[in-house]
Amino acid sequence: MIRFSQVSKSYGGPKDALSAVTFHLEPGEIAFLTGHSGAGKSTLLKLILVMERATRGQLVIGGINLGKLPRRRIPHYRRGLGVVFQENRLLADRSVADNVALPLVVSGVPHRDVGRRVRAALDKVGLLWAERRLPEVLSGGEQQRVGIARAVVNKPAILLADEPTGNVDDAMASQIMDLFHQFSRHGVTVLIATHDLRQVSRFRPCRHLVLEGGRLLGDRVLAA
Amino acid sequence: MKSLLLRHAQVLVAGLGRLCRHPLSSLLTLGGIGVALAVPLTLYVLVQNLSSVFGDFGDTPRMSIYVDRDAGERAAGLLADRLRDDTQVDRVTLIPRDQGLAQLFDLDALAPLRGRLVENPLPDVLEVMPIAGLDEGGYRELAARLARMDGVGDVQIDLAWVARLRAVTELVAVVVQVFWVLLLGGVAMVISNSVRLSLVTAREEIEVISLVGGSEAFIRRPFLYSGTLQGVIGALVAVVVAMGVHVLVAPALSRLMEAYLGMSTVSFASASTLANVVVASGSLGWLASWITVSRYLRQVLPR
Ligand SMILES: Nc1ncnc2c1ncn2[C@@H]1O[C@H](COP(=O)(O)OP(=O)(O)OP(=O)(O)O)[C@@H](O)[C@H]1O
Ligand SMILES: [Mg+2]
Repeated sequence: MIRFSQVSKSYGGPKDALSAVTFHLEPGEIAFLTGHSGAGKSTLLKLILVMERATRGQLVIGGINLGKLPRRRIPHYRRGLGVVFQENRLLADRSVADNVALPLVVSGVPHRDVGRRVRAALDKVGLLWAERRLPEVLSGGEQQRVGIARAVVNKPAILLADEPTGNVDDAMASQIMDLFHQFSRHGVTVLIATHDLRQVSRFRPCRHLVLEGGRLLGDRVLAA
Repeated sequence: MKSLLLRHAQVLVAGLGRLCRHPLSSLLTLGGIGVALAVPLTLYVLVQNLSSVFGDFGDTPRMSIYVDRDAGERAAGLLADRLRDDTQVDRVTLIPRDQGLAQLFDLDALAPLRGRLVENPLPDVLEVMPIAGLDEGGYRELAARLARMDGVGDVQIDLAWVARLRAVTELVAVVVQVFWVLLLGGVAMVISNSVRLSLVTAREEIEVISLVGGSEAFIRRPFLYSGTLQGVIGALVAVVVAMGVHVLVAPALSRLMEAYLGMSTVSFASASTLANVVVASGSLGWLASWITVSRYLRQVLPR
């Protein structure tokens, strides 16, 4: 589902942000990406999102070779991905429901289906009651879950998350990780970049990828 | 199809909402566009009024025929009748020599001479308005033909006046065109700037929409609507401003035209002209925002 072959990314500095990274995630697999600050975790996720292009090597995501993906096809490709950001990136002037609806609206889902699917996604993260509120009146953990609802409302095959538990306490972090595990059990491929090694050890089985200085130093399967 | 229309309608409403959410800056933008476009519109109305008058009889040189003073008392009347039958003559007005003299004494400078003259030195005069549509040579030939008629002393034709008038209207028309180009360019810049400001404010929104799979067309759409809307509403403001100016200026213009040309109907621009202004301004708004948004998206969504 996610296949990196000898992928390098240089931002033009003296050192590559990623160098010769190779790994493969199967559909429905859940993987944690860890590493020190500056190791290249966000860069790896940005490559999958085509926010950046790889300098060398080949990325094939869901059967699509990103090196050959023209600019105008990027929006359609991104509709098959779900993303959760550390700073949740909710739009402050829109209600929770409108934020969650965004991926549906941009892909032209008929109006009458939008409301139903938004409520289903909010229900899954336990925030149906907050539908009409503005994001800013919610707690950090609640906002993060709104971000997750937005990421999954389109039923993506791949779910990416960059430090999804960076701003919340342990209890909330565990709740959020539980959600990701649920999605992976439903066949979604999940890739989570995180500092939080405790969360990695809580859930088995899973993949654990370790980046250091742009190199993939560890790739372990943690058995159940 | 219906859902597409619905989506466009939603975006249009969102565009209006955007305008209403920043009332002061929108007002300044619309006011700027309105005032900028009111200038050429007002000039245009002025030129149109003048040239419609010239079109009526400005291209036709009037001729003055001085009746031979030796031809006798009734010669002028007979000549006038013969001229009225001429196919190249439209109107003839007889100014008898006594009336001519009286008019002369009405001028302040000559008033002291009233009653001092032993004999009226003036001939009878026929003001001849030829038919319209001849060229300069045609009018000269006509004047020459009239000069050969019995009882005609002299014929004066003022072709220079016509040429002068025509040169002035042409100059003003060119100036108006230049103003249109300059100020429509200004409108494009004003709209581009305001679209740019709203793009910068919406940067986070743009990035998020792009990351969840919004196409550039989708991102561009509300900005295109608001740019077009600004062009259209700005042009409507311009029409209102120009109408206001017209109401203020029309009486004076009407008096001027009455005095010089004997015409006093002053009209405003036609509905189709106004529609053209609105359409042109709206199209420019669309174009300016399209370019601005595309350039901005290339900056913030690089790859
Ligand atoms: N847009 C950019 N331009 C230049 N250099 C960049 C850019 N983005 C990242 N880098 C560099 O690439 C390297 C990897 O950055 P990256 O953001 O991927 O790290 P990270 O593992 O996500 O770190 P953190 O845990 O702090 O988020 C860093 O050295 C960083 O300075
Ligand atoms: Mg990072």
